Amino acid sequence: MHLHSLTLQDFGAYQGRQHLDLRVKPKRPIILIGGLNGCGKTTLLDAIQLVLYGPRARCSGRGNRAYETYLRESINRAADSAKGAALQLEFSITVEGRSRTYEVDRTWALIGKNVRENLAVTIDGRYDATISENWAEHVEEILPLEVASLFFFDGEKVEQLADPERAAGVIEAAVHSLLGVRAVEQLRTDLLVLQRRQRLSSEDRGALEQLHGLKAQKRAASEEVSARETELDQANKRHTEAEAELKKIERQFKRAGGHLFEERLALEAAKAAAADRLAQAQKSLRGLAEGAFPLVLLRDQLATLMEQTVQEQEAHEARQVVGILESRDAWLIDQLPDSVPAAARTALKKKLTVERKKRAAAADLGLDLDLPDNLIQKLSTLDEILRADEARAAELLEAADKGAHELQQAERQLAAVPDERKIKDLIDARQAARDEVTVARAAVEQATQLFAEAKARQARVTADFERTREKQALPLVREEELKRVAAYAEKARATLERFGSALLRKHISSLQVAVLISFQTLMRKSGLIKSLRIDTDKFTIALTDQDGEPVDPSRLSAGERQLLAVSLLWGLAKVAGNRLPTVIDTPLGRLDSRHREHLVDRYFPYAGRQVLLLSTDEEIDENLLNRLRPSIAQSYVLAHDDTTFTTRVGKGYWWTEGALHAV
Amino acid sequence: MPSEITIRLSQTAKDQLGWLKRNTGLTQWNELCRWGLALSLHDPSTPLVRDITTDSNVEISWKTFAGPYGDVYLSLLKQRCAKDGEEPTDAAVSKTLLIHLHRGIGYLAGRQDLRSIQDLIAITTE
Repeated sequence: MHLHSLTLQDFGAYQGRQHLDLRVKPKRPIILIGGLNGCGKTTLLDAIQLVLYGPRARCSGRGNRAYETYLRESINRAADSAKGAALQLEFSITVEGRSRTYEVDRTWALIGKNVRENLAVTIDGRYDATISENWAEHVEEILPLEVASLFFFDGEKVEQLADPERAAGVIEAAVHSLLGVRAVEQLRTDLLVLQRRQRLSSEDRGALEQLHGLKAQKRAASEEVSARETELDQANKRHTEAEAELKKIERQFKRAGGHLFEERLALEAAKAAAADRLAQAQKSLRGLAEGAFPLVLLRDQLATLMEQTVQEQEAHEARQVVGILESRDAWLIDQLPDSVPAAARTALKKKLTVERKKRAAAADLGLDLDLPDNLIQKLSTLDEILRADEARAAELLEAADKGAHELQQAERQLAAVPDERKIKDLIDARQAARDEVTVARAAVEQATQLFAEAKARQARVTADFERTREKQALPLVREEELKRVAAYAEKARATLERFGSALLRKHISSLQVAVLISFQTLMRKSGLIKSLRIDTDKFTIALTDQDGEPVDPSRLSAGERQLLAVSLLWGLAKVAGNRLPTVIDTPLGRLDSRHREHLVDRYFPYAGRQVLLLSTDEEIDENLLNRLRPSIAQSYVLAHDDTTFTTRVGKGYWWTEGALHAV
Repeated sequence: MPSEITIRLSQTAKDQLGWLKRNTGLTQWNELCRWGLALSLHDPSTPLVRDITTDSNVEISWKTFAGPYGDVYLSLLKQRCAKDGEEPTDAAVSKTLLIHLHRGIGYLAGRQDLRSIQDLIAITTE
């Protein structure tokens, strides 16, 4: 940062417009501004801070007053408060390798009782409204207030920095903000924020959750399928075994005649039926045998008997007819008329007699059994009965034969039926085997169904998953990306942490060296302090003397402590690369002449590329001015008019060509 | 008169009839006796035995023996008497009955394969 100019308009003691050109040249880094006590040296330092930081500026003249009150009171008393006051600072910084010129205008005026403040920032001659509005943030990027306070300092107060506690605060702030450690911290925080910001949209997250859910379902489904398949295999195996066992038992059962045992009841029933049929037939046959049936044996005899009976019947009839015919024949001849010749009469008589003899012969039986008259009838009835009985007997014999045969058959089969006790175990075993087969078959069916269901579920879930994955390809890619970002951010943060601590250690050690060299350069008693250490955690300074004994800073003299404080600031500036202008107000307050010379000779020309020295004529006197002169780029003297209580800025310094300006 | 005839059996015939009763299932003496008579009358040869010792306690009246076919049996006996060359007197008829009855019973008992009522009935078809 290079300050170009500062312009004050009715600010504090400065009346009207006062302009200071602050530009320096190489090898001439010093802007010397002289002024007696109360002339407004500190007001210049305040002006620089106020224009940049506004309400946050730590102005020496503000005290505990409200910002608005401070602004109102810092308008020059002689000026028109309605027109107000203005400060303008022009400076250049290098941003991204390019130099940019900023012009910051802060003006304020009293409108009634209120102060209206206005800030305008021009960059490279062009007004920038955005930056003007957000200047407070922007200036922090250019020159953080924390850092500025290290470079714009009041020599009277700087001595306090020698106090270890205060020094620790300054060092910590400097290390963090000025030396880039804070930037590293910031980077880590940013990365963490980035990492946390790497979130999927709720929609994508929902989709991914759905996808992950489906994936889990798919895995579960496939596990279930294989489990069901195993179950099915086992069930099939058990079923096969059970069937084999049943077959084996069936074979044993058959060998042992088990099927006959099972048919036993039927066989017994058949046997009983056959026996019954046989008994029925036999009963009927007995009925026949009790009746006329034995006479069947005597059919021939009965026929002969029939003939005999007929003959006896006929003979009996003939015997009765012959007696009647004799008297009738005689009566007939008597009835013949007398005209009938005797010969004819005799011939007729003869004929009738022959006929009667013939009849009588018929009645003459060879055998007479004196059979009853009704025997003919009885015999014919008997004949019919016997005929019927014979037919019936034939039927009954056939039935009896059949029944006997069946009975025999059934008995033979029954004889082959095994003993129940022998077969019982086999029956039980077979029943058990059948039950086993039934159970196993049911298990197979159930397992088959479960397997099919699991398969279907798997197919469904897989299809769902594929469909959803196709649909949600983008969130998946994004998720991958986010994971990668998070992983790299994590890695980068770890790296940054290491880098940060390494940087800190490096800075601290650089700072130790720089501060020690500065102190030794400035100290008159150059051998007093042998080494200087800065604690990396607490940022406290520890001094050691030549004997290796620690040196308590409070034991140093006021001047020495001021030098130590200056050394600290110088060291910081050196380590930070001398990029910032250094403004030192009342730099040589408590110092003796030797130390003053040291500062003038060894510090001011080297404190930075741009050094603003605000000094009294006592501090930088003629002698010191001469020693400093080769390094001075510009010099001003502040002239105060005691009658108007106003200050104006003049060129030159006391004892120079412009010394006339001095009062 | 035939109705006064009382049939007495020999002990042998009684034993034989007992055996036949068991095998045929017929229960009455008279039923089996009718079969014995018929079987003997069926044989045209004249019985050789002329005397029968009726030493059993079995007595059957003619009416019980002949049943409803008394006339027929009597006529057949007369016819057999005549055939065998005897006057069919009451005594001859009675004797013929006794002889043929015992011969027939003997025939039946001689059939050792006669084990059932069927076997008995089947004799008629030989």
